[in-house]
Amino acid sequence: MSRTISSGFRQALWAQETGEVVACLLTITHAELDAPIYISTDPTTRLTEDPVTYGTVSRGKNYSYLPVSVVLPEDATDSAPNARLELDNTDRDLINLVRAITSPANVQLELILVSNPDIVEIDFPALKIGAAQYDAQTVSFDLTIDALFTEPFPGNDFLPSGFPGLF
Amino acid sequence: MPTWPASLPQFLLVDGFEIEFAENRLRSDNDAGPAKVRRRTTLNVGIMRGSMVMDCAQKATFQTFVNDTLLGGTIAFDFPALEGGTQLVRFGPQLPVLKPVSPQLFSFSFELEILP
Repeated sequence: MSRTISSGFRQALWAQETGEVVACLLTITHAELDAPIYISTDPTTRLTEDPVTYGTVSRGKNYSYLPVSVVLPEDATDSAPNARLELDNTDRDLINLVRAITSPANVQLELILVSNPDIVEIDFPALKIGAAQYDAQTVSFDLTIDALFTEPFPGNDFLPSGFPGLF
Repeated sequence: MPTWPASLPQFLLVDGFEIEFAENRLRSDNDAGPAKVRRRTTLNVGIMRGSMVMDCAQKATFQTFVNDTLLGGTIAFDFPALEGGTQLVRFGPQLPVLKPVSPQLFSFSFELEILP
């Protein structure tokens, strides 16, 4: 699958050595959230002094730095894209939050060059948090997309369970 | 933000003093030829190591500063910088180690993380 990326990004990808840093920006939205949650995988700049927090400023929004491990979705044409997020399970409140979620949150995944944070180099289709696994060390989330092409068609079937008179 | 007490020594001793650059590189070795190197993150912490000699009063002030003000050494604080002004630092993996130098003098050695 071909993508349109900037020449600076392409140069950084192919360079033997480069000072460019690629940051992954996550925008998490949900009906129960008062405001979207913005997360960055790079501590580009210090956002606040007290408490000391780091993050990335992109398009006027502050993305807070969180050491998240992101597995990007593949570009396979015959399967829906799947991504994965892994966080350190340092606070048990995260487990309570995961258990309390009743509907999936939407996650927008974007890649930027830190040297040019207002330009989105690669963005992925809107993903949803499909499943969560956790243990004592890590919490991981599977991000999936509604793969409508895997839905069965037609929606209803004439089966003995529903229409016994036909059989 | 807590500040390093003015009654304590303002600089580390020359003996044993060292500053380590923040390691930010992601290095991938190849089968042959030079390794590929890129930056992993924009910012990272540098390391500063050294020691100070304090008298009894300064020792008490330092212990109070670490245990009470910094909540056991967990909070970042402003520390005098070599170039002047202050820099934001935090105690590293090991908290200060105390060694008596004489009946009235004590040497504290510690490692500070220089926050970006």
